[in-house]
Amino acid sequence: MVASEKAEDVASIEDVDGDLFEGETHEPRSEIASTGGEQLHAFSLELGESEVLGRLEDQRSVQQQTLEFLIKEIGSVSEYVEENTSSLTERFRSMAVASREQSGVVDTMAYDVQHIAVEENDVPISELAKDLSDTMEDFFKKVVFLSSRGVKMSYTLDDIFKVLENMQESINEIERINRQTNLLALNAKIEAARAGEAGKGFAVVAEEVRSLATSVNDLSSDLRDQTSRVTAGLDGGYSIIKEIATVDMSEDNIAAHERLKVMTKGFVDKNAQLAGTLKRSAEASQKMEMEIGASIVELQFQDRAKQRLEGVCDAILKMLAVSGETLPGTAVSLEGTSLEFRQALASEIANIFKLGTLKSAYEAEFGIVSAETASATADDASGSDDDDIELF
Amino acid sequence: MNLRTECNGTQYTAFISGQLQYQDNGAFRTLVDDMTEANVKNCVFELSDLTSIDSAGLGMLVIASDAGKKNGWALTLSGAKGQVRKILELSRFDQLMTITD
Repeated sequence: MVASEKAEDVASIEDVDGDLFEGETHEPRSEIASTGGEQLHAFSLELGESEVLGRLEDQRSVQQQTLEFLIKEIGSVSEYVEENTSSLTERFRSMAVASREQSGVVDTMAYDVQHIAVEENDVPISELAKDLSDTMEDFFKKVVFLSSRGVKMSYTLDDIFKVLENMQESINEIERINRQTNLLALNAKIEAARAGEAGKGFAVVAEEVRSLATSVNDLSSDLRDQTSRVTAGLDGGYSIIKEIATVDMSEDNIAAHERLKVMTKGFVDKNAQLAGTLKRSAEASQKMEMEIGASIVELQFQDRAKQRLEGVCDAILKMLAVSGETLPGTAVSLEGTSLEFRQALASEIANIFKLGTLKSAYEAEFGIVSAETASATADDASGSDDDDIELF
Repeated sequence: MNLRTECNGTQYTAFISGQLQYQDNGAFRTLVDDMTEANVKNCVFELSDLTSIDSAGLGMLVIASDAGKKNGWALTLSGAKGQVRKILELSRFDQLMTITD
């Protein structure tokens, strides 16, 4: 039965090896399980009873050593994964912290760009723009109000000018009457002189009247002077009021206001856009933080994997213990055992390992130094061997 | 300011063209007095051909509006264009009187 199995194995091995060298990495499990070996082919299939026992013992010994090697390998892989997982977890933690800080910074920025400090209060920029616009409108309203008061004031001045004109008319009238009085006094004086002695008293009266007329004349010209000065003063006031009431509201001035309005709107819009972008950025950071948190949780798979591998190792150890009890210490006592056979069998198993270091370590367990391994080790340096996995 | 007026018994319309500025305050005062004397409810300043106005001009419009309120007639500004329209909007004259196209 053993013999026939071996014969079949020999046929299938060559195929498998051929595939291997073409760089195939995932053969079906069943093919790996049935793999025999070229080296084994050299050993005789015709065996006596004691030799069969020896062969079985050889196989058991290789099996035990292999399983022990595998347990060691599983242990070190588990450790390797644990180390890397914990360093990954650390990195993810610091990423999560950095991400949280980033989202905090972005949040602060989003607030800062939307507000401006006005007398220790934070005022939203949108309100500031409205304030500015309201202030401008208020300013225009006040200018218009001031102008209307100015125009009203000039109406009042116009009225005063009219009064002054009337006064001027009155003064003219006084002067006209005065001239007449003066003339009458002169006539009275002439008539008094004609009357001789009898008119002497009348002449005195006429002289007094003429003197009065002169005084009135002085007064009226004084009044005329003063009225002229008032008129000149009011003229000055009139031009001052004109300056107050007239504010240039030409196209250019309005355009300046329009530009200010457009610029303010542009500024506020841009600001809102920036705030929106920052908000999205903060959200992205928060999402990143959450994703990282989830990744950290998922990294705990390593702990479960470790426990399962430990379970597997414990089961293998138990199996080894059981088979050790069945054939205790037979390795030395049985005849027909062969180091060459064990090494040949181990070499075949070694071919299963595609990772050069693993293969070398396994072969070292059995004291094998194969030509293939030696050349593969040498090739490692040049990187041209088939151990693609090591290259990453 | 160039001025032409129409009165049909119920509405007094003043066609004001050219520039309305401080120098026109005398003529404008007379116009407002005439409007009050016309004894109508509606007065319209037709401003289609008014090319520019300064703050004194705006002040005169405010005085006209005040006079209307005091004497029982309503003032409407009609057809303002260009700089005149902009400045009326900017000074929120729509809050003080009726403005139509």
